[in-house]
Amino acid sequence: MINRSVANGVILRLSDKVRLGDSGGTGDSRKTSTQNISTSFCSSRRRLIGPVLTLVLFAVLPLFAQQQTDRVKQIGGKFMCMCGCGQILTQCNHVGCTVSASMLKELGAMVNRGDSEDKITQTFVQEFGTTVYAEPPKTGFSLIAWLMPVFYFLVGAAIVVFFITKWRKQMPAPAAVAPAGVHISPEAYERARSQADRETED
Amino acid sequence: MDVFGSFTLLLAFVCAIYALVGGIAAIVTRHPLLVKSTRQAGMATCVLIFIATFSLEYLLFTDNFSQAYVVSHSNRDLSAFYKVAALWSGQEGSLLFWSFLLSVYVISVLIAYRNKNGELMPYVGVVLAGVQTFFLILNNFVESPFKTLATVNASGALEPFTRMDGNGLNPLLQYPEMVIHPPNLYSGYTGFTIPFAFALAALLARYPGEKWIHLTRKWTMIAWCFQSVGILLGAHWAYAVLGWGGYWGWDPVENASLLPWLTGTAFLHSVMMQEKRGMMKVWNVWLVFCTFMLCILGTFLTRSGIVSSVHAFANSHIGPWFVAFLGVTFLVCFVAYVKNRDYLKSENQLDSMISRESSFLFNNLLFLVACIAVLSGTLFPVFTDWLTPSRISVGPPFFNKIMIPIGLAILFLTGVGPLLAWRKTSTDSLKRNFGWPIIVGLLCGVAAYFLAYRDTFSIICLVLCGFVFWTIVMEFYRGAKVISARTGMNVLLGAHELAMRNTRRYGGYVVHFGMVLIFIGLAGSAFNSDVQRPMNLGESMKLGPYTLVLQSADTKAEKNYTAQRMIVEVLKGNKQLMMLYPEKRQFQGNEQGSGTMVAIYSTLREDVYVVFAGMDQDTNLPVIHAFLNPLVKWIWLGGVWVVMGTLLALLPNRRAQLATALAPQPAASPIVQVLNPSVTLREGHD
Repeated sequence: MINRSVANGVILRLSDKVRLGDSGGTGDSRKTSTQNISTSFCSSRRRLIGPVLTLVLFAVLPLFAQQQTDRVKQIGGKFMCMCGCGQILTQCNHVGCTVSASMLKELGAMVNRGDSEDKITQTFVQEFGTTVYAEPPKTGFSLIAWLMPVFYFLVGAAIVVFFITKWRKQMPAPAAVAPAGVHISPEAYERARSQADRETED
Repeated sequence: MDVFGSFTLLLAFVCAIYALVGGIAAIVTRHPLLVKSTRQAGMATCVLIFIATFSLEYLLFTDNFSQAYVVSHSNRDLSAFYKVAALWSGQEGSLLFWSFLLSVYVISVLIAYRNKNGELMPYVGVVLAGVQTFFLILNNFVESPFKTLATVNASGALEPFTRMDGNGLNPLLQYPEMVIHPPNLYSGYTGFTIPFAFALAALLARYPGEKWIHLTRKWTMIAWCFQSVGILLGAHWAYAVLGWGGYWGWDPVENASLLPWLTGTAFLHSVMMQEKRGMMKVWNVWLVFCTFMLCILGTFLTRSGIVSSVHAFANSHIGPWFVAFLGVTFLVCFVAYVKNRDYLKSENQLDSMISRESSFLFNNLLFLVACIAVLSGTLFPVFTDWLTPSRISVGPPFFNKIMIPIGLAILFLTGVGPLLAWRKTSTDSLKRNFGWPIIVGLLCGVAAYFLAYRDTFSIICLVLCGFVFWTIVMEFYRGAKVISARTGMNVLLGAHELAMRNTRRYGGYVVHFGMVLIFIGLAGSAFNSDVQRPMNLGESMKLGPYTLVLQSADTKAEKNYTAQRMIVEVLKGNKQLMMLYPEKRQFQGNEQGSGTMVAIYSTLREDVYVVFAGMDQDTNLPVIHAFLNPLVKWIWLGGVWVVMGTLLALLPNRRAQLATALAPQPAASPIVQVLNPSVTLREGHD
């Protein structure tokens, strides 16, 4: 929704500038068609300022608008929609959701005003509470959420390595592996076993 | 019919109690008649549940609006197709559907093994009856689907009444996939009851050997397949109906379905350690126990209202029942384990760190870490609510950050595992087996970079996909070449013959191939883009290389809804590709309002996904929200391969049948035959 409002805003501003630029340009050309065409270098430079500025604005404004839209998407991606759908703010599109529309409008206004990300975050947290964060903050009690998977992995990996080491120690001597009476190298016996395993598998 | 349904449910409960209590008595007394009668009581329970379920369907089909459930979930205009689905669209009906699907499994098991495994089956029957009893308590006394509408008359007595029409089915559920997604998912959840029952029964009965694993392998694969298909169908439903442009939002209900899938997948791998090497017996038993308990936990999360979700059923008071059942289940499993743990003594020996066994251990570690991470992330908001003054949301960014590395590590092991030999892998074997897959993987990474898929995780993912894909190709090619050399058939036919000779192993590789396709699809999600704006008729907007032109709009009146439809032309350059019809539907007789119907132009490269997002309040123009989602189609194709692989793995081996036929022929020297020089032996086989 905010993308739309931002885009609309840009279209309006852009068209306004284009119109201003056009009229300025026409006025200049009308003047340059008269006898004052070579009065001074300074005055001609002054006359060029309007069209050049227009061209610069024409080139820069879409980039600026795109940056604003990207910023809305980037910051909006860090918040949850507060309607209870459990979706990211910029992704909530479920039918009839008025909450995401108003939140995005508010976010768009703050981005257009040039508010910092911290300020925007503070405003949303004050308004909706800490549930507005899309992911737990990496401070305080919420840090546990981030540390838990790493902790599980490290503990799990330590357990796996412990058991592998323990089970390797339990390994009997290689001579005991081949059954008595069969004169076959351990390597060939191992290959035979693996083929037997493979072929007897159901 | 409502009284009949209610009565059969009550009778089913009585039979289940008899099967449970009588079964325990039969185990203690070992009286053959008691054993037989409790088995028959178990079968009668199932038949009665079938009748009760069909009674509810009959009430839905005959528009019996004297019934509360029918009024809440159906209406006269609802098509027959969706009247079937109305059975599982509400809390009461879906719990009955749980009992129904569980009964399909139970009766199949009781019939299939009626004259086999006499020592084990009474225990299995008792465990199954225990689970059925729990659900029948809910069906009969907590969430009965057969409640009659009544009003209090002037004298204060209850007087039944009938409504003219019902409220209708939730619009989000009126989509073909919702007719098949829940049955698949529930079949997965309920299916894991069978390996659980056999594992617990084997432990209680101290049943010798690995027989319980052989008995339950196919049941586990069937449940796993249903669960996988259910998850993928749910993802597709979310993609095609909810209209937010994605397929997986890490919603608590989605997570709940993923939890038993993760432990079930770990079990399907680790069970090979027990079959081949007699290892990890304790681990396997607990993996099955946990998978079943996670199924119950998932159902509890969906239905208790403990976590908020758009998918969840309305809050109800069944939460404590599930907590109690989980507690009892854990207690029974724990006591059984403590009393009989010596029965699970394993022959744990490892030759080398670099072996198939080690890869399975790390595979299990990653699946378990993934499961615990998803579980703790899902429940973290509940814990913060209890322990701190503020509530915290744990949304998709958290899960993506945690799960992407774990998923990539699992994908890596999917490629590595089959290349490692049981016991020990030599350096030569490593060089021989890993060389080409690594080269192919790197080439895939380079190709991805030049195709503009420039995201770190996506490139790593595509490199690993190439690596795993080539290991699978090599496995098929090497085996097929041997068969081709022996029989003279071409390599493709040889690959077919190979797969049919060891369906489990090669079916597993086909499943791995399906997972590779799914990961390719997931890698594309980093490059999703979208554009949204109000559009006038004839106006166009750019979406990547595509141009979308809003050609016209119309209204379509169907029996159960009226759709406002946008007609959007998709062009690439000047070439017309397709006409898309995104809709917004207003359902009649439904208090839950409207729904969307997304229109998708899908190719292997990307999806053009168009949503009609309503009318703009300022301009009163239709708002079109269009997404460009690369590689999504690969996910659904991957799902098809996963199913095909599982079906292949369920087939009996062709070689096994031949071996049985040739069994009476005496063999002069088995060792010499095994070492037939014409066979090229190599390490790394299953």
